[in-house]
Amino acid sequence: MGRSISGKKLVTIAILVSLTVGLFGFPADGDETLALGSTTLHPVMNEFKIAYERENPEFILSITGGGSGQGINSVSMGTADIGMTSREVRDIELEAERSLESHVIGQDGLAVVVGSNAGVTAMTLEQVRSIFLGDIRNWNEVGGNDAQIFVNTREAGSGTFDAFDRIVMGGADVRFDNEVNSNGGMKGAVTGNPNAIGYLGFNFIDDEVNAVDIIVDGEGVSPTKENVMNETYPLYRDLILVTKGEPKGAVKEFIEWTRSPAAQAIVDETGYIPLT
Amino acid sequence: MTDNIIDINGLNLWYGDNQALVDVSMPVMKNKITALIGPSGCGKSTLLRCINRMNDIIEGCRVEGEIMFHDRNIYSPETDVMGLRKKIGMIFQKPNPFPMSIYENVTYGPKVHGVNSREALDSIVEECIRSSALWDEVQDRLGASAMSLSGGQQQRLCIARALSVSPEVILMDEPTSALDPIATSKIEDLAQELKRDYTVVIVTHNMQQASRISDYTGFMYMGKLIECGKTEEIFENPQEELTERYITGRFG
Amino acid sequence: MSDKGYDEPRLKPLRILGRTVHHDDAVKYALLAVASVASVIVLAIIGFILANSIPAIEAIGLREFFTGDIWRPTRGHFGASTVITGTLLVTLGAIVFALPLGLGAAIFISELAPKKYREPLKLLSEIFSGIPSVVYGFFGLVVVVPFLLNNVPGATQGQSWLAGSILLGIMALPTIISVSEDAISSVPRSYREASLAMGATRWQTTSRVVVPAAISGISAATILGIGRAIGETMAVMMVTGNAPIFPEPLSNLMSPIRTITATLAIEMNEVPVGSTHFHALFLLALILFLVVLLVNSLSRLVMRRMKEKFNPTKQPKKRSVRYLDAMAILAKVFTGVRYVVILGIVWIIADLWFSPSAAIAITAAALALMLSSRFLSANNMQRLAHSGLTLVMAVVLALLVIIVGDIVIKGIPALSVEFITDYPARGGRDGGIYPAIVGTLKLVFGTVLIAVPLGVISGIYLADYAKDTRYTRIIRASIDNLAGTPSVVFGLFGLAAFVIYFDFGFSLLAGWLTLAFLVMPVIIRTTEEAVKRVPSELKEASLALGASKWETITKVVLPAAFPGVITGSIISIGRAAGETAPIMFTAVVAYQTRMGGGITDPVMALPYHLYYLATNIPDAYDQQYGTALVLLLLVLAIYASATVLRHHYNKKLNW
Repeated sequence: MGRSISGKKLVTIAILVSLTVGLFGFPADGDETLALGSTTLHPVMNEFKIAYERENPEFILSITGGGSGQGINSVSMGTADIGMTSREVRDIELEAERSLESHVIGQDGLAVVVGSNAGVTAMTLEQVRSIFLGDIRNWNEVGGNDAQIFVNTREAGSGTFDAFDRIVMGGADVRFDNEVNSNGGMKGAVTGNPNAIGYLGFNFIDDEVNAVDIIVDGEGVSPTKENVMNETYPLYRDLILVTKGEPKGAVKEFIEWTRSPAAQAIVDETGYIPLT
Repeated sequence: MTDNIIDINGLNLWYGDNQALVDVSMPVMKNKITALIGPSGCGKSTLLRCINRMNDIIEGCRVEGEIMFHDRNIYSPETDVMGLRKKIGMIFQKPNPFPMSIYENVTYGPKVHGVNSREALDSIVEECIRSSALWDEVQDRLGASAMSLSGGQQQRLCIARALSVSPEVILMDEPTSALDPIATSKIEDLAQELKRDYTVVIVTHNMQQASRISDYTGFMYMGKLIECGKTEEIFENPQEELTERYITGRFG
Repeated sequence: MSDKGYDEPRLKPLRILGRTVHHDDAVKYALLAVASVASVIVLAIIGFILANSIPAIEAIGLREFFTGDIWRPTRGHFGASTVITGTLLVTLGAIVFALPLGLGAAIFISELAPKKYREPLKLLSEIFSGIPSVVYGFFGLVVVVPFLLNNVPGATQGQSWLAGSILLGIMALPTIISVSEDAISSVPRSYREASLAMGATRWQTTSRVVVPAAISGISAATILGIGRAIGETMAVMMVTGNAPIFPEPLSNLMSPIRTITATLAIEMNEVPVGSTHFHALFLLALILFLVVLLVNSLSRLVMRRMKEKFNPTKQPKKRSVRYLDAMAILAKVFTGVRYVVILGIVWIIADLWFSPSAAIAITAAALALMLSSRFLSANNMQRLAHSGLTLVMAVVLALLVIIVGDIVIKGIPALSVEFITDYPARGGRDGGIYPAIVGTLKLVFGTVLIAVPLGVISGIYLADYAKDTRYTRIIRASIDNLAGTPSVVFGLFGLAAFVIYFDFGFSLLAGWLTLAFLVMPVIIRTTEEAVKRVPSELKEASLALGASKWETITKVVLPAAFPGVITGSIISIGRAAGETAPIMFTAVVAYQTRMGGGITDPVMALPYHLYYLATNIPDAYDQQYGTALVLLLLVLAIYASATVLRHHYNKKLNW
């Protein structure tokens, strides 16, 4: 049994070594600021990160998703430093944590997107509402092809959904076929199904998705930043950074910077609407 | 003048509700071989295991009575059982060396009892393996696995292992029943040698073996010690009828 | 040699709290304390979940909760009937899928396969069970959902009940196969020989003697599979559409659906702590926990009856004639039921693909087939049956090959040194997954550090110290219950207890504790088995030399049981590495550009990273497949090494 004993010893030693290395072999690199929540804000926050970290090398920003609801909740629980949301903090969330503070950094438009087989390029808000209510089930009822509509919506805490809910649904319940929890997920669902309908922040629109015009007073209005700014396009919401209590230290400096002209220029360049 | 190294007085044992030993009393003579014989289930192994309190590990086992060793009852509550087992060693029916090297098998006991120096251990190993007539066969492969030995060699290794803690008494529970005749006779010769320095108590279902090697014999039947005394007398002139019937093979 | 003599005990009794305690007893109580940890944890889980769900009962009312069919918590609707039904329907579908396939594969392995293929086939199905659920979910999202969308006629979407059931069925397969195979191969050979000696074919023997004799084990396997399916989170969350509705009509397999587990996973993280919604989720978790507990207890009961059957310790009951008549009638009813069930399933599936009239025609054809099989000769029936079984086995293997193959083929192009060693960039769209790999390793190591000592000591206690008292039975039951608890429930417990109550926050430490209690039952069981298998002669030899019980265990028993113990530990490492739900609520974030190393900080981890990429960044195809492949390779390597070790030592130590 001589060989096998040293085999056992080897295994034990290997395990112990890996344990030690695993636990202690990756020393801390420095304090991170964690921004968590709405994926709507990701494109601008990514650009913020690049610009701000260049000027402030000690500052490390980590950005992750989860949706507006999770962003607010994490800040509440103290597991994130900055909550990114594309809606206002709700009363019930304030009840859980009274000290939540909101800092608006800009606005974003919200587009209704459809699949490749919908056959529709413009709709009224009424029509969109009926589809999401479940009253209209087929694209041919709104001038499109003969196909059953595949309705996608966002999770209940989503800021993007919040705007859609306020402006389009008027608070009525959505009848949906699929629920996703990020802008990316919504985009994937809509591009993956030719008869889909959904809604996305402007920044997630590219050649792969078909954003429809919204017909207002008989005229189709395209989902563009300019149309939001000149108030012809009705779907938009605030972009907000939430903190627990007043922001302090590095987070405070960062948030103040986001209102600065330099930062607002980035907001503008990345396709969002800057604060006026 | 031989004296009693062990005195069993009025020993009773129950497994649960089942009484396996009934009022057993017998002496064990120092530096002699005492054999326990009797048909299957008569309680001889049970009695043997009482002497080093190995029955303690069986759930539901209850003992009354006393076994005197060095003027103390080993069943009294203050007994240091581990120390007792150091003084009274045991060889089992099926050879059971540890799955370690030959060397490590023999040093296990001493190490447990506090011997750490390499020289002391080496000398214990050689001394004990010589005493169990195994040295010539294994001296150049002490690092080999004990499992690589034959059955008879393993049993002798177990004897060496038992000797390693310097016992006074060696208990053997049917030590040759799993071995071939040649290995058996080697063990029997070994037992004769060992009694010079140790006291041996051997349980055997083989009457011829008992009459061959033992000095004293105890015959048991259904938990009772029927008769015990010098081996020649038991075999040639048994006092009890039961003993005589067993020895003449009328029942087994 | 130091001859301490009879008078000085080597290990002096200790004085604790004014009493004299012998060494062995002290050890026993210390071990008992450790083994009780399992019971404490189960109680704690029940306690935390109960405490957090009672406010929901008060605020919502049980009637509204169980019968209301609108689940829209943000609007104050807490009707959970759709979600509870969803769990039941998806599980039902999973069993319909997994039971025939699993049972067929088990019969094939046990009765048909040539001896030399038996072990490899069983090994393969064990590999199946090692694949993390998020990997199944990912495969479901990118392969199964589009497949269903494009191939089921008239389907408007792939996210559906059917997709969920297919995935869950595949995930339940290994359990059903291995437990059924054990049951079938334990049927005594004498039964088979008696049947064959009467001139029956092998198939007749298998179907009329062997399988019925193993029915308890097969039922247990099914029940265990059900338990597994009910508790599954990640896969269903990614492919069922998550719409809290009843399918319309109820047989509409392509309808989206939502399960309890998905609801918990989706909503828990964004719910304000202390709100009614928060408590309602815990109420759902309580229901889930109780259902799974019930299911697992049932399977244990059935298993015990099976053991009784083959090793009867009691006198068999005498049956009255009327009882036998009743049984005969029941048997006929069951045959009828069997027809109805099979035809019902055929009809539902045919309805998916074809028009209703065609579906009826197909069902009628199936009925005709079933009836006409009575007229086949025994040999032809056997040929048919054996071909069918071979086909089933081939399908099962094909599933494994397809899933693993898809990930390997599409993942390899994504693998590169940079992928493994770089930090993610642009939100995860580019760059590498280095911190996720490191995070997973960190999670695993800490988990093992906590779970292995606790588990091994508990296992030793149960194997060598515990007597059959009521308290011991409580400990055993607790361990079994822990073993059956769904991982999402562990996640919620970890959130409530470690993140919130003990205020560790979202951290590595919270993740360690949660994962450790998740894997502890496995280690306890494998340790106990391994220790019990060490022959008692070795223990006796050590005791007879004057060693204490504890010395015997540490110097003789544990080294001999080492292979079994190590295997259990390695398997638990594999589980810890692949789990998502427990860490989703306690320890992980999705994106770090540098690693903050403390144990009170969160980490990235491979399973969660895969989930995040798949649901947030759908066009990061390479990243997704690369992550899936790395995770799969890691987990499979761990399981494979455990299996190899076990094999190697089984050969060496032939007791």
